[in-house]
Amino acid sequence: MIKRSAALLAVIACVMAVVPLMAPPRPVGAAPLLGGRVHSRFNPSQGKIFVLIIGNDARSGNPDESRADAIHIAGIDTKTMKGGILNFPRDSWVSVPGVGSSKMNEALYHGGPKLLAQTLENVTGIRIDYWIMTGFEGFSDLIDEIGGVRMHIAQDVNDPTGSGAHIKAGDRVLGRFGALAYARTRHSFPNGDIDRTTHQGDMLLALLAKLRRQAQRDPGAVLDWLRITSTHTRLDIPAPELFRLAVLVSAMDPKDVRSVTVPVRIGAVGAASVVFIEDEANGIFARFKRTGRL
Amino acid sequence: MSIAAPQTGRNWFPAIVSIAIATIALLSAGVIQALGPRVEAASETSSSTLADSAVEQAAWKLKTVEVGSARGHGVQAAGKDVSAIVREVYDALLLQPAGLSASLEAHFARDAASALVRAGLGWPEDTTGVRVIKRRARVHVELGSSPRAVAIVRTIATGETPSGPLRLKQRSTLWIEESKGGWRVFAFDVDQRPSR
Repeated sequence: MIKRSAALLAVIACVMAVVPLMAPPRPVGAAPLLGGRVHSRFNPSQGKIFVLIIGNDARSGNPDESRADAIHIAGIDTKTMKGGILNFPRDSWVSVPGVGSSKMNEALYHGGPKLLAQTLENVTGIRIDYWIMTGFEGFSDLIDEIGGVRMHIAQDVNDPTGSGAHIKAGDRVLGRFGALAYARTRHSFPNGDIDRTTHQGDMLLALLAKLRRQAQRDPGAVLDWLRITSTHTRLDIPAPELFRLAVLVSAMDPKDVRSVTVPVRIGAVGAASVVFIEDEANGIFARFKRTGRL
Repeated sequence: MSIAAPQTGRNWFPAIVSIAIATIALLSAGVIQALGPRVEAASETSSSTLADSAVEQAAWKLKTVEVGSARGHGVQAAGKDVSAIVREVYDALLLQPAGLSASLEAHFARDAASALVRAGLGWPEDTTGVRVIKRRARVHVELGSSPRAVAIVRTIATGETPSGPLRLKQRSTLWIEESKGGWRVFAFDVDQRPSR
């Protein structure tokens, strides 16, 4: 029961992020998951909820002083129960409010999750409702608690000097080390960070699939999840709202959620390798905003 | 999260129920303010009872599951309270549809009640001779600062419809929270499968 509940924890955290923390950034110790509202008023557009999912590069300790290794916007249309996950390469060259042109992942370092959310809102035109963030330690712990995540690995992954990933191609259940390594590795792939970003989106979908299976087997597991949430995360959200959101996400079918990586072209700014978001992405943003789907 | 297509080919078991959950998530944040219509006629069937009083109905089998380590009298008492709601609502749904409206008003959030009515669950019009073969519920209860519960309900019943005998199988999940001193269903999921 606890394993199942932890799966709910991980996926709901990844997909919904419902943890309003109204206080400014502060040291958080080993809290595996943090989150909050982007805006003080929760005002989703016509039943659509958008969540910024951040994986930062903090090995341990305070993730507020880290950069974003994984950047995704998850969208849910609560009327159709369909959604999407939009994946952003961390090296996307964008305008960061108050900072200027910069890699997207720098926004987290300069202004925390809210500045990253603001940056993405400017880029996409989508109003983001919540953010959620985890670091290496928190992510690994969550994967461990849910008993791993089943992924299809398209090619052998061997990255001894970077992420430490060493995974044979095929259907694999990735544990705490394997999942983190696969989410981090980019040296093994021809398109580097772009491929990594896509794999992260795939992993979110795999987690959602696991959640779905477990919730279908035993809806009562949602209550266990909520109980575990209170001990493993820092939550300020009112309990009734969290309950509703947990029910909502546990009802989502991963087949109705598509993962798409923002189209980019590889370039450079000075000595820095960056990627530029292609113009065709504007159509994707507009559709995502309008429908919550990709 | 949907009601299965009727195997009989008839379409008097319409709609899906998942909307109830989606709507309620937003309600919790105060975004939608009581937009749903009030609960009205809960069933097309108008008779006060669908069963012959001489027919013995299957007994309820109810089980309370404690969530977490907080065991004791409080959980069992809460389980009894939630079970009583389950019994009242499903007995109305299967045997006494005339009482369904009052049950929903008493124990369901308004939008959840409206969604259940719209889903058109239960028997077709003019069904008689209902016999409940199975009715059981497992209620998970967590007490704490915000008590909540999940009821997983299974029922099987048979009845005589104008077009012949019908067997009705339901699998339901009710999402329940304690509010203002009482338990209230804010979302539900029903899979209803009729067969000849």
